[in-house]
Amino acid sequence: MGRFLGKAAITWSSTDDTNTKRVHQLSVPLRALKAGHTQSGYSRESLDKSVIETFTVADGAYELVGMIRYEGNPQSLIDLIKAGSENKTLTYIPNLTDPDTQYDVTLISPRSPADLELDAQRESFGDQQVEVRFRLSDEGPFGELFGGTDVLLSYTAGDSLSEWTFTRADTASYVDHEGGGGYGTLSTAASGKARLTWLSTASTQGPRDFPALLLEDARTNLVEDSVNLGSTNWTLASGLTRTSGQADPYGGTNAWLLTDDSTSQFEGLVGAVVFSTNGQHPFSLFLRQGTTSSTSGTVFRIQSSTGAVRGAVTATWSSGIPTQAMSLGASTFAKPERYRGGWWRFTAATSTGLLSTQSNQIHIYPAGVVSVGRKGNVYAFGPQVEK
Amino acid sequence: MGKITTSFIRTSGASTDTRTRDQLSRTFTARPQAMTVYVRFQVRNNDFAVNKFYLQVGSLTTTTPRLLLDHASTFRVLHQNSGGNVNSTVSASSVLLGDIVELRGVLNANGSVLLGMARNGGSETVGSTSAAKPLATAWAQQNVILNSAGTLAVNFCAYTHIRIVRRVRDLQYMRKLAGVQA
Repeated sequence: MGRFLGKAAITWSSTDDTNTKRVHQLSVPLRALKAGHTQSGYSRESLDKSVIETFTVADGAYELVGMIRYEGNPQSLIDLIKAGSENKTLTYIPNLTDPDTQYDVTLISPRSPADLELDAQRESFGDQQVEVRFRLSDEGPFGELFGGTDVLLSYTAGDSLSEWTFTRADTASYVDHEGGGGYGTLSTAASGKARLTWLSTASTQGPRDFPALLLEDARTNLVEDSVNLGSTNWTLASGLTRTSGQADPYGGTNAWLLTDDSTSQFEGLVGAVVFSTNGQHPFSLFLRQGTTSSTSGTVFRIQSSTGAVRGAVTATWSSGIPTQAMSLGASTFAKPERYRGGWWRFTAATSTGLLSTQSNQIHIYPAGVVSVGRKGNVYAFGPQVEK
Repeated sequence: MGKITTSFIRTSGASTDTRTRDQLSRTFTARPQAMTVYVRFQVRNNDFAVNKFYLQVGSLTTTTPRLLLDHASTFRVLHQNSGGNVNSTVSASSVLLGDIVELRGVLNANGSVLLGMARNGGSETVGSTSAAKPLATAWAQQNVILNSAGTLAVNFCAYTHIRIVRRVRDLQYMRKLAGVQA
């Protein structure tokens, strides 16, 4: 009996044998692989079908079902079944040229008494076959093995990360798919939880229709009270009016409506930002079109105590859809990202001329800074300047 | 400090707040051999001048032998062992924030490498095959790490698909394996 494709084998150790180890070489790697799972569970359903109660015991066990085909050494194969029936650990090696890639399994079925079958294609040659069900010694998933013996690693966003080691020492935000019509709800991942965020392509305004695993380096938001624009950490420039309790991108009500209703001066909101390093810094803000949009648009910017503007974003609106223009900062920037409830996150970066030795501020002017008297309002939330 | 905006960090009261680093790795027992590494992601960092990693085989840090996909002005696949390194590159100049990028890094049986890059489901741009470099008998560590080399070259990236397969495979094969529509 010759070999067909691949160099797969199943090994086990047995005190019944004078061999150091038993090795059953497979003609081909396991075929017709199917994923399985078994778990002790008890369910009951209410008569009106509105409630299903379930009690499960632990996490159960993942299993793999596959066919051993074209078997020309049935005695060795039935010895394998016998060893598995005796609860000996079997080791499945999909490719002997890569021996460290192996799976220690328990044979779930068939167990003795058991028979092999004549192979579906090669029975006339005396070949035999059997369907086997394996369970890993740690009861974990078989993962990429289902992709075939050539697949060494397989991950698609949304897959289990149980085979991975993930760390992040604190909470972090991401965009959830639920709520907001698919445009995304700002959400918080607990410490140690990898973030599955939802995205739309750059060329679309959403909805967010594909998941992605978001991995980032450490960053600091230098803006204090970023989710409370009504605190004493924020100063009213001239006679800006603030209205609290507005719907925010989290689905809460921590956003503010900022209104410039002056005919004689620019009204805005000012927050101090302390930089520890000179140079370029990213900054961002969530905005939603207000009830009255200024013809000058809304401006948010980073400005030094000497009056030097280090980066300014102007957002103008048309039926809730913004256009972003940048000045005095980085020349390229991402398009605004859409969130639930008409919110958009604007992102930009300052110029390289920012000096940490100066006092710097973040400004939000709902009616811009082009010409006084161009009244308007805007909903604002979550300013961020990053280090 | 770069110019890339990252995920929102909420702050409360008179204090700033820091989001710490994400780290993700797993065991990878396959020995050095001809293989194809496929990574598909949305670009969240277009500051390609600064070296950042996407995926590394064979080390959780910078120990060698290892195989890695990163950017350092260009997209790059690099195979490194004690005798030095070889690499293959593709320009990143056309790539914008928010683009969906597919990197296909090939490690050939003679240790040479080849990189292919496709943007937004388009056709692949393929770099030059590097010089040969004999494969080591084992990687420095039996691990794969995403997005960094430990604390170094930590990237900002949103991954949709990752596949590593034996042998040299083209982009069409990898897309089909990953279930990705072009």
